[in-house]
Amino acid sequence: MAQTEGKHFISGTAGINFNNINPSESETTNGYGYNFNIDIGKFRTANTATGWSLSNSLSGSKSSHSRVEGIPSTYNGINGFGFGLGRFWQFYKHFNTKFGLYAGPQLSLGYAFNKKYDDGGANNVRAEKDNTFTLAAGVSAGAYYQFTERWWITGSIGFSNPVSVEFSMVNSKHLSDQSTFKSKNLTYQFLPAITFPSVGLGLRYFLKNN
Amino acid sequence: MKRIILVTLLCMTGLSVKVCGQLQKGTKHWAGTVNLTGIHTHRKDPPGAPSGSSYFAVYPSVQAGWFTRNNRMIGVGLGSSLYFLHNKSELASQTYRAGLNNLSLSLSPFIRQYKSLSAKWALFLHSNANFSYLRVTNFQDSVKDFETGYNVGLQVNPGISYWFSSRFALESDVNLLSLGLKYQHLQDVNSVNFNSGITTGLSNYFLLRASWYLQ
Repeated sequence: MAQTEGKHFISGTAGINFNNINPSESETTNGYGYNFNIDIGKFRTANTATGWSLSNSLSGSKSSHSRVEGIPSTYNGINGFGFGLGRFWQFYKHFNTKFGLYAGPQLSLGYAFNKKYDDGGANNVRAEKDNTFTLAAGVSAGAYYQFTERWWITGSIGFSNPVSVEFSMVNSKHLSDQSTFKSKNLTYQFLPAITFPSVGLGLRYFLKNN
Repeated sequence: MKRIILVTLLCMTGLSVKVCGQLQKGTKHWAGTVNLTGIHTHRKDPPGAPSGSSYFAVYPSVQAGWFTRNNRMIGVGLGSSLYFLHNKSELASQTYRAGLNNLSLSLSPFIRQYKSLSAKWALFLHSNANFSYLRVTNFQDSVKDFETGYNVGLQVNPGISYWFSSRFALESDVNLLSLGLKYQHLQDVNSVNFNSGITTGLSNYFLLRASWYLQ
């Protein structure tokens, strides 16, 4: 049996990205961003762990849109960011000292901001700002393999997000006359289905106990 | 414990002289699932002329069956799909409404053959005939018109069950093999649809059904 009780662990994903497009007949555009997701947990007993997950993302770009009189036709700056906070519970079945399965529920809360240009041609460009709040409840399952005392490799087996609610507010501004339009959207779903991911490997590091 | 192992082994061999408890002749079966989606939007676009749209869809289904012999169940399923799309807009203090209501009700008698894999897992092959009544209503302000139609079909698909207790299981259809034939008549359109699929690639999406086995 893996000795897990009382141990703290951390796992996560992180990414950065850049792109640059340099066409011969229009302006150069580029984009950049990062995202990360960290799970921090603790084994309460040998077979149960609880923890928090945190996520954050940010993206920016230099982009261009159709000409609007009196306004520069390029945009340079941050155009999106998001935060997420989740709570998870995991129940384990350890088959031997190296290998086991886990499953459990999670709750998550998220916020995302996005800004984009809806380009309808010269003098018809809208700047759209979108604020989205998400609440979701789900279940996920995975397997682990312990390849050193400190490092586990984990793989997701399946997940289900039967309940989700999303609320978004969109603010759309015409650049030519500054008129503003607003819309609100509420989306909800109940879907008791299991989805099996195609790829879902992760590393988990166990902290030294003080 | 020995007995459980013995029963499990017998179930796994497929030559079972003794079937798993839940699949014996005389057992009654109830199952059901539901999924729904809603999207509601409110726009102030352009200012002074607010508009809104609502979309709501719900798909409930239930089925009941009886084991006429060990591992074989006959039964009937009742399913429905309800789909509503409404738009409302205001212009110069006039309100305009338009939308679509889509309703279908289906009755599907079925035969299901089980094969136990272990005390907790079983595969089944579900063959059913399907008779559906369809009704589409369009409305624009006070003008409303509707059309009705029907479809009939045959469908064969496998599935898998997992028992959490001796009475309660979750099951899902599997797409490894399926065969379907459907004839539909709606809005002066007749259509015939045939599909068959043999694949070793599992789809990555399984809709779950709650099911009860009562003896």
